[in-house]
Amino acid sequence: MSTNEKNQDEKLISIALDIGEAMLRTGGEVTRVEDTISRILSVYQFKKTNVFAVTSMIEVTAVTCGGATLTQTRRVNAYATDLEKLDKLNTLSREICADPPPPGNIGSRLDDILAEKEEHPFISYAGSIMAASGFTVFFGGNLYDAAATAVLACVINFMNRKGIYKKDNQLLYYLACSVVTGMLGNLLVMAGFGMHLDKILIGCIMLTIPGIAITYAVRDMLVGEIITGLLRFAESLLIAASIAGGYIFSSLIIGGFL
Amino acid sequence: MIQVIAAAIGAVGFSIVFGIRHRYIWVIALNAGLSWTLYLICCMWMNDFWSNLLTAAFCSMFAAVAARFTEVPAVVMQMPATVPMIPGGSLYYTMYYAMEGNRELFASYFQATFRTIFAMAIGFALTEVILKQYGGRLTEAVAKIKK
Repeated sequence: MSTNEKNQDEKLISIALDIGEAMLRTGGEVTRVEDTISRILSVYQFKKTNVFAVTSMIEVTAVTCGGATLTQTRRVNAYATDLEKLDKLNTLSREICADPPPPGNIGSRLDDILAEKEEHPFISYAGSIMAASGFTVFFGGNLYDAAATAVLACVINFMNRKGIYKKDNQLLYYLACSVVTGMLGNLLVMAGFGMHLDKILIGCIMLTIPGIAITYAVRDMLVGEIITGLLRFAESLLIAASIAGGYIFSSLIIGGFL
Repeated sequence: MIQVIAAAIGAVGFSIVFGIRHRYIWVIALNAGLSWTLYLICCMWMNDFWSNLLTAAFCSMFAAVAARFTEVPAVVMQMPATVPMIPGGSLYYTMYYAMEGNRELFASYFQATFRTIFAMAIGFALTEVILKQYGGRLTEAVAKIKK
């Protein structure tokens, strides 16, 4: 096998890993990632592919048609939920499998998806207001509570967009976020804006608490993805603890000084 | 009724937070509303564990069918719609009372949270198992209807 061919094959695996990594980063399930990578590699004439993915790492070993065995590993160290991008990545991989383009073209299309310009910040504010206020009413709050929640939702979304502390340490971000919203919530209720502090805070908590992550973690374990499930499970418990700690801290501050 | 509408609005909000900007947002709202209605109906006949299990199975099945019609990944349809059932509140209280050192309340919230989580996870896994068996037929059936 020539070096040229080998380079080409390595590049292909790398591209498939790029797509898999992007899917993990946008919230795709590990089974989907494994499936996507092995499908893409099989349409490019790889004889055999073994893919192993957990939330923080993907590993691929593939046997090329020339008989050589190639292995690549990718560390994934951050993920969020961006379902629209996940949908587009999924469409891209389907198109690749239906009609394999020259490998050089895939990279630029992937970049197009990932580099999509952000829309107006207003939309994300509107989304978080609807989500948080919706759940305040859902859990039995009234319209005043919903209005107070809307204010807090804007604060949370602002901190999320600016990524305050988020790059350094995720837990620190959740702690800071819940201290700020906890204090503001207390102050708003004291000022007579909103009546039920617990309903207001639960609405806000729905935005940050990893309830979805923990449920999906258990589901992952039940369907056989035990390592992924355990990773997410431990992470979710830590996040929930730092959020609760933040709220306890904020009520201590408010209780102590006011 | 208010709860069902609030659940649907909350689900739309979460869809936007999760980055969905698409025509199928209303399907997600419909799924959330229907699932919560089903949950409320189930609660009349059985306990919370079975209600959660059935609702989660229904919600993910609805999402799987909708995903085949719209050709988007099922998780996109499912994740925002399950939010109303998610025990976010009781997960928070579990950790809150753990930190405060209130053992009794911690134990009861812990139990409530994990009952819900396990019930939902089993519901999701149930759908997954069914789809592994009959997913191909479902895809064909949807393709026929679409034609």
